[in-house]
Amino acid sequence: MRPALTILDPGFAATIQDRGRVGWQRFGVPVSGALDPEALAAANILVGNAPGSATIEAMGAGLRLRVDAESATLALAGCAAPFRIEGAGAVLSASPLRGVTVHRGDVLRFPPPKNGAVYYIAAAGGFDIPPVLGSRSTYARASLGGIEGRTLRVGDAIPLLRKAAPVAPTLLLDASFEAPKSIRVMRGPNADYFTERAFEALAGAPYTVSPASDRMGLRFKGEALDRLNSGEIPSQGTTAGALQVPPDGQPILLLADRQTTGGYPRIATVIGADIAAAGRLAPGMAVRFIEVGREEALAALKARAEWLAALPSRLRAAPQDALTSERLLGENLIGGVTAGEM
Amino acid sequence: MPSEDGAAAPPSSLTPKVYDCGESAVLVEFDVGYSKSISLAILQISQRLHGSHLEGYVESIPAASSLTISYDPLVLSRESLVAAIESACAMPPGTSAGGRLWTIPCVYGGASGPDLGDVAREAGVSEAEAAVLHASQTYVVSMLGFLPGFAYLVELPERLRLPRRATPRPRVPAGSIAIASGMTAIYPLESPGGWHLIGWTPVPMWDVSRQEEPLFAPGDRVRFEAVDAQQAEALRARVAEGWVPAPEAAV
Repeated sequence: MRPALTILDPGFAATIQDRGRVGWQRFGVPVSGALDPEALAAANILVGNAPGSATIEAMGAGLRLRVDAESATLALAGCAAPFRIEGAGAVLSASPLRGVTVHRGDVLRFPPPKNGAVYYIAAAGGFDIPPVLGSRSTYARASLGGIEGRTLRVGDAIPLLRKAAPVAPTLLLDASFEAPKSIRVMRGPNADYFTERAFEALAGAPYTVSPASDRMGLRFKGEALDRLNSGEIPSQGTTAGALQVPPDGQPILLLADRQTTGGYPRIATVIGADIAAAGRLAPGMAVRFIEVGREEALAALKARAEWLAALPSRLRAAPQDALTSERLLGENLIGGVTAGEM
Repeated sequence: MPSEDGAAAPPSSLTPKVYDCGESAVLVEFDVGYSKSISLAILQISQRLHGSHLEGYVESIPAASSLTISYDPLVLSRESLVAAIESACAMPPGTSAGGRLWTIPCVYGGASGPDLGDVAREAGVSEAEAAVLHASQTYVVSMLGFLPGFAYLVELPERLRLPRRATPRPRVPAGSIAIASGMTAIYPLESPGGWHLIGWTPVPMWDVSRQEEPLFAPGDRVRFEAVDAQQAEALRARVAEGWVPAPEAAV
């Protein structure tokens, strides 16, 4: 049998995502890719992969996987809490942001995301999934990429390129990924379609993420953003982080699966440095929009790019005693009251 | 003002307005409203930028009267990008912007085009006349969007122009030929859709497992040719074996 991670329960929604399909928008193909490219990079470098490699992107609660390979080294990054490894004779708790070696038959049970919407599971060596138009990212609306172009289902075997875990030191990464309380925006390309009052409203009270949000966009609820006129604009190319305003005045922040063109005017654009953070926002969370100028956006982007480039230098070898204590903790768990929760 | 003959606009008439879409993209707008010649000039600028190997340029999305360009501002300064856009605008128009001519077989009406009756009624003609009207025009691909390979074809004959359906269909079959306002299009894959369905073609718009790029590129021209159900079925069998139509060369 091919080495794989098998989906026992996909949870709320899980897809295969990498850095996305860049360069095809003129043909109507959305970029897609990880909602949080920073967490994508962190998960990958923890297992020795290139930072943009394909991972499992999970949203919401309920994801459960089984290891159908001799062994594998995995890492979890993003808005993630410790996950459980139900193995032969022991139940372990494994922290995010460290490499973890799992074995055939282990069942991995992931808790709901913590402090945000999404997390990523990378496997050392990566997943054996053919690229479509240069990317393994899933774009479900057009059935592109990932596993059969769709969200993951019970029984899907996600093939691994390595049949066993590499012999390599286990790594830890000192970083944190949380949904932001505020995100910075620049005035948008269609700013002259809005009243000055709309900009005041946008910069005023926080906006709340609606449950109708998805990988295409975050729908917000808050003070309506008034337009100077109600006319449509001719369809224009969209960009990541665009904050578009339909006639009801409630803004929609365009994310990875955004359509390539759209006809709603855009009041603002989330700056590049804050797009990964915006991708972590979950329904019910409130966020403030802070308007900044281009120079500040550029300086923030430079700082973020340097932070990302320096991530590998923040990797540390995981201390062996930490592993042991986790194993002991696991053994205590299985014999103790918490075993009943399993 | 640009001419309406399909040639690219004279360079002097193209004065782009550049708006920031964050620090990593710009919207370039040509404030003259839509015209076929502006649309073709935008495609030329997009193609020139694509071919320029400008370091830090990422990609561009041509639309009917604008071009959206994404770039890496840590590699390419906004000033250098705008200079490249301006010099692309100032270059003499080329002979064509793609400009291949495609002939697409179409089964009009019936189950293949369930809205043809309504469209004909609105236009005050018979279904057969509505089909002839649709097939009488040579359309231009002004842009792709909405779905991978979904090409917006302009300009639909005036008599066939209707607003979108009041209620979009949850499922429009792949290959459906549809019209709305001044445009016609072929759905490249099954999707929800609010346009009026007047016909169907077995020709695949973009089978990503076989075709590196979608059938139509911005700037191409497209004609429809009425076929009957048997002819369409025969074509569908050839499509299953990998057949795709060949275009006539650029004019």
